[in-house]
Amino acid sequence: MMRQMEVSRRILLALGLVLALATPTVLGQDAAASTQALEQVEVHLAKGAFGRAMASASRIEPEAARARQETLILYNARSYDAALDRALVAIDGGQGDELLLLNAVRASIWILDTEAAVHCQGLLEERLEVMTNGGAANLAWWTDQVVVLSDWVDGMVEQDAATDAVVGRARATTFGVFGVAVSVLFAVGFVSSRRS
Amino acid sequence: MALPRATTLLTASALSGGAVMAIELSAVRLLAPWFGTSQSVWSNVIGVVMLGLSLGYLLGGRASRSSEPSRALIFLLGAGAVFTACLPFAAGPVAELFLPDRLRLDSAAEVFRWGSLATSVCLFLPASILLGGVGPLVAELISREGDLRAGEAGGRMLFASTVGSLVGVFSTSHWAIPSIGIRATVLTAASILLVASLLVRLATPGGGRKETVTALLLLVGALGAMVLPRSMPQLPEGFVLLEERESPYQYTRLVEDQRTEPYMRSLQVNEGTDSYQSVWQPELGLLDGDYYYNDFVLPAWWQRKKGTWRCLTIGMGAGTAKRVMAGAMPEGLILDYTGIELDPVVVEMAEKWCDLASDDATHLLSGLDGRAALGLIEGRMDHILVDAYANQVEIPPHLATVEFFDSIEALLEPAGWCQVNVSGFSTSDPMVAAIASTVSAAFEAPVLILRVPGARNCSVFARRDSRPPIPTAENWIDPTFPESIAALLGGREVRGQWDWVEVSHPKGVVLTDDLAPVELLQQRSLQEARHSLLGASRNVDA
Repeated sequence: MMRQMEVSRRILLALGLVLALATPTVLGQDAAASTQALEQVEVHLAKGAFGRAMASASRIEPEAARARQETLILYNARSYDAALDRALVAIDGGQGDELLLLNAVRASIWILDTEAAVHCQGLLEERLEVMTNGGAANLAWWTDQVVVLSDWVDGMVEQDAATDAVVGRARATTFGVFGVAVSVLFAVGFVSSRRS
Repeated sequence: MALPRATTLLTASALSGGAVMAIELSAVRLLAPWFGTSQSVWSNVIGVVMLGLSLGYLLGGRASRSSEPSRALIFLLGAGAVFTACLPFAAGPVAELFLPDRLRLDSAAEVFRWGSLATSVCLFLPASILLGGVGPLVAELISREGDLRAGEAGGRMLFASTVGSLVGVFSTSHWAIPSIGIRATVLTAASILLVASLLVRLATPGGGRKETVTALLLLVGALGAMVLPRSMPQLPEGFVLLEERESPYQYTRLVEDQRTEPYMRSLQVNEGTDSYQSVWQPELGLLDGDYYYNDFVLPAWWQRKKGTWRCLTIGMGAGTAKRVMAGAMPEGLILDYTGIELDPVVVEMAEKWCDLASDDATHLLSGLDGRAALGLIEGRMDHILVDAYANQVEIPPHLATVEFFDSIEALLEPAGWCQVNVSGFSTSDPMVAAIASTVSAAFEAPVLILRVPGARNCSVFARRDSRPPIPTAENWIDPTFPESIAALLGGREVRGQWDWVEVSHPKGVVLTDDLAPVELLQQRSLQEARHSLLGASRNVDA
């Protein structure tokens, strides 16, 4: 199914895994238990033990960090709709940071949810505009990511628009031809009744 | 030379009736490469033809008032023939007006519904209107010829027309489409209409030679057009067509993806999208990518059996399941495979292109319905796979009911496995939930649903008098499993990737032979997929 897209999305998945390992995952976590849980998540993630990673993630505080890690785990476990669902709950609760938004956009691309992709991409771009932490290199990295994802999201929007246009054309043709046919029907009926 | 007029007119009526049925039955198959042959496509085609005929009756009735109705009759039959002859060549260009370049599965239902309706209107309405006018004109001419009352003339005309339709139905379905294909069937219908036109012309006194010559030229043209290629969906760049055939059930083609090595082959039916029914790679074993077929090896690994693994597949297609399993069985376990496939053309193509062959351990039951063929199976199976689909996403209702799964359970060894591939967007998808609940009700046992990562499929597992493994269990990934099998199971234990259905808590409707609203569930599945996630989240907030 959609094999062409699948191949490209595999590249996207690989990017996601690289990101998972390369991006700093904790920004200011103090609680020792939470830090330990976070370390366990990383260990389990590296082993592909996603169930254990989720169990460890449940002990992470605060909620924003927990949501970020759970989204990341679900995304890497390729449970994309669950990852997006988790991310949207966090976003609705005002807990979405850059990494969570990034994975939310990626998950919505995987499951071809255009509406969610546009929504999360917009939020991610807003965050990028006010991003100050991490220096120029960090900003450049995020900008690159947003540009790549933006191309994907734009492609999905275009594809949806093309599909809507085709359905609209089909409806217009159907109703147009039916309209002409019914008009002919009435015209013939009218002419016949006048002559009889 | 003047032919006996009344007999000729009734013959023309019969020929026209037969041609209309041939066009109607071929129409769905003409559209199938682009829109499939679902219930909505059938409804659209039949509805458009009926609308055309009804308008034609009215127009024919009006034309019958003229002083020379036979001229109108000759024209309608001849023009109907011309429009009919254009159908095989116009179908592709018109259908492609109503299909986007790339089509998502969750948008497909709406596109197919409206696209097939618009295409039907453009293609089949003109010919239907013209041929609808034949009946009233024939009735009028018979009435004038024999000084008959309207009822008697109409009765004779309807008799001839209906007998012609009857012959048209049987000859089209049972002989023409499977034997000579869609293009030749439609062109034969056009030729028959031209012959009818010519007969009426010859039976009409005082006519000129010009119309006769024109009709004969058109007839030669229609017959000559049979050698021209029918318009078909284009393959994407990098794909090569190996073979395409019309079977009694569907348009089928085998294509090879030559973009990257190893070249993969896929069997596609009906819709000209990039979806597939079976895939083939040169090596036996697990497929490289997100294919649900890879899940078919799991029960053999979970069972820890030695000796022979008797597996039956209902909906074998081109034999992908057999090739995947044959190359990925546990050590000490030998696959004994039986495959049932309804469409014999699919099996013939698989034998030619996909290395499918009968041998001592491979038993092919071709041309048999999956449910009816269960009675032919001897002995018990370790594993029964149900992977039967029509029109890509439609599970045949009779292969989705409690009674069917009761029969499956009766064929299984104790602790044997039933596995169903269900096309669905999540473990809570209406179709997936219904199949899981139905299997659970039949087996009176819990059912495991596993989502296939990166694909829109779920695997449903049940066991006879036993339970499938639970993904959250400590030993979900057995350390003795090879890396490839462990990788298949990795990640399946997280939320969203699996679900569990208990008999006492069905999560969907239980389907029965009496009530199996499969099409409705599949429509809901597609609708929910379109409006899930963000939309659902917003609704909750509202």
